[in-house]
Amino acid sequence: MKLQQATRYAIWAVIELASRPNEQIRAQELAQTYQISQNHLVRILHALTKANIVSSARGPGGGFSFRGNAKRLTLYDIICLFETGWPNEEGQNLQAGNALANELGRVLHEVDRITSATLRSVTVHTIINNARRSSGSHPLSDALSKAS
Amino acid sequence: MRGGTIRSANGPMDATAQPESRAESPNVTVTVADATDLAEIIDLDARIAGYARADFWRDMFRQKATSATLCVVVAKSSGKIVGYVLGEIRSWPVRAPTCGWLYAIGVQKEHRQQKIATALMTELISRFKKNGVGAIRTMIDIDDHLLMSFLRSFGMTAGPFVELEMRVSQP
Repeated sequence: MKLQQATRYAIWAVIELASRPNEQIRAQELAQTYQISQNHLVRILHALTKANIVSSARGPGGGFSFRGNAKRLTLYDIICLFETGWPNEEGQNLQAGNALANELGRVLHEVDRITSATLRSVTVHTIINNARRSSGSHPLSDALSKAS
Repeated sequence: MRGGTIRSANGPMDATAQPESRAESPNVTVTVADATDLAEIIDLDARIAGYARADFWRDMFRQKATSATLCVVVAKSSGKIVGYVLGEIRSWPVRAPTCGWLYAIGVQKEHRQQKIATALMTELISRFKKNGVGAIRTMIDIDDHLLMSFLRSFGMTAGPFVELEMRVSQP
């Protein structure tokens, strides 16, 4: 599955912020952790703020923090914010009426359905817990960087 | 993954083994089900699932009476069953070692968010582990995202098998 860069950054940012509750984290730190463009990341964080997933605080000691429910927020929720025209129900876009097109549409719908079910059932909390399980004592960002 | 012989004598799938898991609420106890719980489980399961499957549960309890590997654990609040989990250690036709199967898990709507399902699942996993099970499998509705999410929180992920089915026309 190919995600846009902004979507991947958004997922990283949300997971990093959610893994450090009660912390205000500056965009600069997040950008350095994942070695990504700070300007690009700030735009993404503002979009996440607008969606009430992240909150921001100005001034010294300010930064971004996670404000969603990590046990309920899924990858699907984040992806839908950044991927235009997603979920891309490719299987429903094919011309109906033709038996071959219908069958191809059914196959693509099968793929879409599995993808959707996976993304709808993986929460931010689960990602963090599984990363911690697999990385032992390593910081989360290390585990996620390795995974990416 | 460890498969092969399943230990049963004095093992945790033994119905006499005391559960070790606890729900968040002190009023909820997790205990091994016995025959007297069957009717209550059937009723609760029907309310949760939205359809009755009394025959399935009766069959499970019949098997449980002689099986050391089939396990039903219930959560009780004030003596009433508010949650259940059903699992079994068994082999299956696909080429894979014997594993633990989660067949059913449910908690009464009014008693959710109290970590009762977590206590039930933890208890089942513990029993499987003590019997040398190397993997736990289940099969759930692809659109039941909440249950899928709950199971993923324990570390469950998509396995190496895919369920396929087809409709067969009736004569």
